[in-house]
Amino acid sequence: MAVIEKQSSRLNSLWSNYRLAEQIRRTLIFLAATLGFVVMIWPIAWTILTSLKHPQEVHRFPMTWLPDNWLYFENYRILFTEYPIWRWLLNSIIVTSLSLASTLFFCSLAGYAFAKLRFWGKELLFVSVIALLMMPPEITLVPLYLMFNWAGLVNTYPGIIGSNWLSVVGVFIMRQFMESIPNDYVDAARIDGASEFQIYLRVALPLTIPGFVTLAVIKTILAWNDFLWPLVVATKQEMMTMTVALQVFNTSFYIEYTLITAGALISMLPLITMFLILQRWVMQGMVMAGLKG
Amino acid sequence: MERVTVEQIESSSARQLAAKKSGRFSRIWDYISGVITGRTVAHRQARTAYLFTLPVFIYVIIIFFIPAGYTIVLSMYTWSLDGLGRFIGLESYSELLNAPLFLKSLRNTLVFTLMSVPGTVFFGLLAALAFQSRARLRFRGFFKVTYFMPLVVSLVAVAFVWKWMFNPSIGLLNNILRMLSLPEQGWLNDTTQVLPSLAIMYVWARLGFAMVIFIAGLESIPSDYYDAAAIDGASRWQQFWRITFPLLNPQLVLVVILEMITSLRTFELPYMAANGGPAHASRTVVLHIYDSAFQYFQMGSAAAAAIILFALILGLTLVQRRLLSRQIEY
Repeated sequence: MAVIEKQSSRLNSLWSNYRLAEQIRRTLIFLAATLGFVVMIWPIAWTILTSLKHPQEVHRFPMTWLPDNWLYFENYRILFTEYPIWRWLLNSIIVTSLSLASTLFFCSLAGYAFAKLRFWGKELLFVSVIALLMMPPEITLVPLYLMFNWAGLVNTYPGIIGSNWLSVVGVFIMRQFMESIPNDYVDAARIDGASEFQIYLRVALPLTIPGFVTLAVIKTILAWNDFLWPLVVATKQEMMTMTVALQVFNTSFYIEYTLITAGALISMLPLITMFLILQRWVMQGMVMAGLKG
Repeated sequence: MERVTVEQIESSSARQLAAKKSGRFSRIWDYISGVITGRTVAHRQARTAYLFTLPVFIYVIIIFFIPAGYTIVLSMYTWSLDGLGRFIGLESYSELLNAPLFLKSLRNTLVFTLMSVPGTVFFGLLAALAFQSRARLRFRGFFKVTYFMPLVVSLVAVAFVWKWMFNPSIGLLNNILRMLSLPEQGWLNDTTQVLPSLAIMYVWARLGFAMVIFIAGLESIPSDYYDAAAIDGASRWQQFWRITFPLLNPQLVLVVILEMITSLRTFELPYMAANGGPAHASRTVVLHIYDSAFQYFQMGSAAAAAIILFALILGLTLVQRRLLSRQIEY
């Protein structure tokens, strides 16, 4: 009996040692994660702090961390009154929403066809479309610009949308989601005399709303953040999107960092807000887009 | 649904028989004419399908095929303001490969990639190991979201924010160094430090993507493996190298290849944060393409540079796939 008790107390102390080590290990990981959190969030936090400072505060030595007056919105006032920010935001919204609407419609339509209809060359056509994702868009930048220039689309909304009116990844994603619809539903609708377009609209679309949200999120981020193409196509200041317009601050004139950070914050705020609301969708969408792009 | 009459079936099967006899070409023609006229239910369905996918094919032709062909043509001709000039064959390529500026941008791109990809994979993996559900860290979801957040911010804004933090005189980083009485650094203004500085921005911006993919990979490894290894007395270090690392190989290869492609194409960061400078120390290939096409209007040279970049990306992707992929079974 005594032996067993001795053993079990040894075991107990071993166990508590292990628990202690585990506790320490976990605390250390938590501390490291918190440090990482500070590093990850700091650039964005610093942007907010700087945008609330007076230009002179920024040049102070030694540096001060927090703004003197938390309600100093002068930078934003200057930005909105002396620069066409509203126009730039509007351009971004127009370009993003048009790209979004046409991408969602065309991709889901094609996705339905690739998933639920029978036609000659289906697999071959699908694979060859998807294979084009291997081609980085920078390769076609120059000729695409020459083509758009030739068509007179430079400095127009269709021109700025450019290749954003459809998405090859989107076709892939929508086909994935459409394939999960049971064939019975589609067949039943066919027997009831529905046309394929009606089936797509009334049966397939309501059942693939997750796919829609995923694709919409991806497209919003890509279209809003698109830079190289709009930079080339939108050369007039009044046609620039917000992302391209930030570049005006960079090159045209000397501007205080307090203004630049305010502008950068305005440009990223819509997407950060969307991300915080739709976290799971955004992560899933970005990963799906990344895997196939 | 229209009623299919016996005659229709008979006539269509007779037609198929005739088509079978008369060879491949007429069979294709038979299908095409059937689709156009909507001869049977199947033909009509195919017609709808072609109509539904038509925008995709138009897109692919306008956005991919014509420009891709045009790039090849452009790269072999001279370019003037009126359009294509005379045929010069591969001269643009040989000129580029002898041009110090292009070679420098090629070297910069590769050096940048060599720093940013390992950095992203390393920190992404670290974050994934800490935030996988098996680690049972507190506030795991919250951490995951904040680490992912930079990914939705445009790289242009990222470049601005970091340019401001890297500012040598009033920027945050040098101020902190000053407080710690450490020597101040030139960061983006120093020819040797500009690429590492850009790589830091890149890792900060992209790490969330690697993290999410690694987490998915880690959660698909059965817990039994770890339990069995722990019973056998394997340390956590051994468990990582013998179980996690080999079983995570598909995700690792994927992330390495995707990040390599992304950083070989990098443009926003060097363009916005350093404008290719100082002294072309951060000029990347895409920046070179942009510069020669839209600042100097040398479309032919830019097209040739684009094709060299494409060849580089394709080549490195294939090599990595070959070298890194391992088939592991337990």
